[in-house]
Amino acid sequence: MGNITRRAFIKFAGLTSFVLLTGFPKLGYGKEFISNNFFDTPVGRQRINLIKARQAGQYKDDIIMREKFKMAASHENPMIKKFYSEFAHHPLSEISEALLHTHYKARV
Amino acid sequence: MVRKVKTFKGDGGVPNDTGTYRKGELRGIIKIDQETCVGCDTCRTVCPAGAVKGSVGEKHSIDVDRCINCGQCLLNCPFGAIEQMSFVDHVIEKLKDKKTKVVAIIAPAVRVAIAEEFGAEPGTLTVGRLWAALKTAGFDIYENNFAADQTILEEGTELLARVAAHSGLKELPVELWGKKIVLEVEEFKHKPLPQFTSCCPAWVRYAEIYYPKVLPNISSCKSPQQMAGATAKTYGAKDVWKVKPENIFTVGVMPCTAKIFEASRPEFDSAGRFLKISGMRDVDAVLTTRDLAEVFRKLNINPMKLPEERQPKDFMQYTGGATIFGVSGGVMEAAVRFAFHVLSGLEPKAMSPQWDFEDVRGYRHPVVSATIPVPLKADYKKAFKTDQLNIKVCVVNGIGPDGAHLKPVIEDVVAGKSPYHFIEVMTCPGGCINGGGQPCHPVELSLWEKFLYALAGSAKK
Repeated sequence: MGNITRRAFIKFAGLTSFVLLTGFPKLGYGKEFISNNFFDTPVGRQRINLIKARQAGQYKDDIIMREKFKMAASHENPMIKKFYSEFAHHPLSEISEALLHTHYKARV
Repeated sequence: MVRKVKTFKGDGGVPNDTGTYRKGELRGIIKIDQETCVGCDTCRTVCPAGAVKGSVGEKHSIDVDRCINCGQCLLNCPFGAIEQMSFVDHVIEKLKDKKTKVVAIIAPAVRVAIAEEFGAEPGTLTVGRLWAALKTAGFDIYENNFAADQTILEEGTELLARVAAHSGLKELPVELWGKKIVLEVEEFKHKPLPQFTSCCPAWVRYAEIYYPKVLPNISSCKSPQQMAGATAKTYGAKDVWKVKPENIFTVGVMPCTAKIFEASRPEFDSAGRFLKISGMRDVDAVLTTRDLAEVFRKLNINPMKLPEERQPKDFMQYTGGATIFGVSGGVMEAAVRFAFHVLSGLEPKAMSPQWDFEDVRGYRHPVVSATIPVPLKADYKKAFKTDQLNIKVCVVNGIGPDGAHLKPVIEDVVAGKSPYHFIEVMTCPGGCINGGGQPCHPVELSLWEKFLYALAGSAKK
């Protein structure tokens, strides 16, 4: 007698967690645990290595295109030159406006 | 190991204007499966648009009128409860039809991620192998990176025109490939600075729903995917491939779920309007990186078993500036490379560090800004009345939880006190490489982290 039974302990633990999970936060705690900076959130921290690895791959491709094909900036692409000389004339031309530009619409 | 994402079959779009959708647009691309959702609240804390409904312990759902289709919820759901609309079967059907020329428009970020679907390490560069696999499957290739180069020519020139107009110039001479053109820039006075990038369709929809005031600031350039579709069916059909535009079926292969929505926007039938062919879409279907892997699996193709060699021709040619579109800061760097060339008249060698603008690169910081001094060539010195133009740029690396990264930057623009010329916005943290259509690595939260999320979630209510 006087000992805490298994059932009572579970009940106590359950109630405590219930208070922690529902009552506590109503007082306003918890907000600061989730940062406004995605990279400082638990999910964000998990994704950093993945983002780094894929980013490295992308910059590796930049170097390959520059080293092997000698093309760093967009105007150095021979097909771009061909596209404008054979078809679109120059950036912001009438053909460009018709095919490569658009407009936006408020969705309220 | 990557996790499989459940998909459901795509439809033909909404029959009439409904809520924030226009006739023909695809609605409900991302869906939370009510059976699997346990109400952990992770999706709500990563959503940039505040579109997730429900609190801790409740089944969550998506408010489609607020949703911008970025897919960050889907990518980060610890329980794999979120599904994506898919057009895999539709594309395979078209591949079997011998009359149709199926053109794959492959985005930069696909090449650093698709290998993960076949067991390779994240970041494994897959270009030649990807091209070979696409050809085996029956696709022709239009590099979205080529379209990225088109975007830079158009968007970069637009930026120069806006800067010139707001510096009081009436016309701006631009020299490209030894040829001089003179642009009338007076009309650009009505286009405000800073200019925002327009490549990210989730960001464009975000602005359309939440900040319509900044729409005039967004570059009028289509995203590379839509430029590719429109060019493939006009110049591509007539001058390069010599086929009927009606027989071309364009498939965007994107790291992105918002691209699925973008292709369905009603105005994107510009090739059809240009050629006077009615009912022709610029981009006919969009596959995510995961979807393309599924197409390969269904056709028994493993790109990792094919040789990694490149012999780019026609629309497969692209530059270094184009391929970095896949990372946050990349569009900005590519635009700066181009603007630097035009304004200074310099032609640095390909490997010259002069082409590296590392200040704008970022994967760790939510907002990156830089001032880039550009020496002006003689005739610009006179026109701008200065020897050097300081271009102020800003990169928003992910819109952030409930818009947290973007809001301070955009509020400044709305208030008319933004110090920048050019602002890049990527909805997904890290850029397209971390897009909602990429191979999905399970998120594993510790008990403590789950507890924190629960606390934060119920505190928000």
